[in-house]
Amino acid sequence: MAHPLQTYELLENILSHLPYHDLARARLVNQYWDSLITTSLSLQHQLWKKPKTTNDTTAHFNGTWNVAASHLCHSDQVAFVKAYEAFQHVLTDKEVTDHVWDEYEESEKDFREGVLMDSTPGVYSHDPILSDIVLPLCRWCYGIHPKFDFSHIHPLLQQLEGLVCISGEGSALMVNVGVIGEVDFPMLIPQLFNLAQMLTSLPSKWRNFKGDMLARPVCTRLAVTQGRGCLTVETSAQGITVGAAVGALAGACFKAISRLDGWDLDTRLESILEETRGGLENEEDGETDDEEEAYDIEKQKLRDQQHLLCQALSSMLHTISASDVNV
Amino acid sequence: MAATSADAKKVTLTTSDNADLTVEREVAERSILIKNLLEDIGDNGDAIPIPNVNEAVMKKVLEWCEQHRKDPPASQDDDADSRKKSTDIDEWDQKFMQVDQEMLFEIILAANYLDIKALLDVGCKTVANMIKGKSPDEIRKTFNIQNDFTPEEEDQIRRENEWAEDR
Repeated sequence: MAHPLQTYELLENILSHLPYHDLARARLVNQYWDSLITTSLSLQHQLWKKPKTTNDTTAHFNGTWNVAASHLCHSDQVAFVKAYEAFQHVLTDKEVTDHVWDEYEESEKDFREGVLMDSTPGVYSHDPILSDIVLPLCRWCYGIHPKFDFSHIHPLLQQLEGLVCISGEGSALMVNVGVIGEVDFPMLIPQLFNLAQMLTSLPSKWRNFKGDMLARPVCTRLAVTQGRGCLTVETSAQGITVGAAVGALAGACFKAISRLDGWDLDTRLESILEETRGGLENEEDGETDDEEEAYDIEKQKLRDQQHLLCQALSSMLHTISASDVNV
Repeated sequence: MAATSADAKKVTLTTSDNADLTVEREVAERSILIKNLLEDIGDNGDAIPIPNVNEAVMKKVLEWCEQHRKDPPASQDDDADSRKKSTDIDEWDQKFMQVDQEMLFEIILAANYLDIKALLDVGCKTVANMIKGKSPDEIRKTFNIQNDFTPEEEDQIRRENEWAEDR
């Protein structure tokens, strides 16, 4: 019998267990390994070289909506299923019209108000299975949805972990870049800035693999949302490329950051000051001149950062639309 | 009188080096090949020839089957997706797979031939773990593989892979 390392299906099986970078590097072992990795459809999927349309609801997630629903109490379940149906509508409707979005927003709102404000996280945070498969309260979208598995997306985009919320089903994804206008939003400003910085740092990294890496598919449908608003929806049966996905994200990020106003920044600063003041409770009340000055400096810093990021993002968007990474 | 129920559940396998191994039918049926054979020809008590596996490897394979005799059968729709990319192996299997490279590959070939999917996956994961984190050169040394690339070909792939290296 032939050696396993010289048998197509056995070597394919062995290599399928490798993480992304080990698999990419294994092409350099010899000609046989190289030809196998570049011809095997499943390994090409694994390397994000070929688009993969899938109905597997757990393709990117640690659990499914069904499992999540089964862990909620009955009244919450009803609200959850309604929110889920609306969510699915957003993910499958070819054009997300105002009507579709309104419907989504309404049932999401009902769900959040009904479930999250009353019972969660108090009730559900102690459910180990639920907290393993879903985020009890996603801080980006304020919803309950299966946890996204970042290890299965394109390595360039793995850095999005902790910066955005991704939910979805099969090969359709919805990326939420922040809950603009919500009470907690100012707390998310640093994350939004981090996301913008990560996105603007990408072009220098992709010089080396332009046209190859960037042309790879991420998903077949991508909806970028910002809190309670839908910003962009891209659909392509051939797969939405990393370049296009980054473009859509950068666009959303640009809108979100340029929309930050004085209220957002003030609230953000007040929360920072409250934190730093926490340990000094016994000091005299009232702001000293020093504090006022420090406040102004911090606010100016935030404004400058906002300005710089907007500039960087808009020039990045310009580069993306001028180049062929979208093809 | 028919044989006792315990006897009725035994089958004999003849390995490539003509050794007869008698095991419980439930254990042998972890192998889909043997299970199908027994269903097709009926259990007439004859020894089943396994011409592709020798005694030493067969014993090892049966040891695994014995340990995993109660595992639920693998479902038909177990595709590449559900396998994910995990290289987690349970403790007993890890110990079981601490054998020399030759035996490891023999087990993989036997599992493939006998159609024991779970054992095949454990074997392949074990080899994947030996590859993980190694440079192409270290991989070649580990498995005694010849580098048959021209320097130009190697350069070409390296260029395509550049981003993967600088992390």
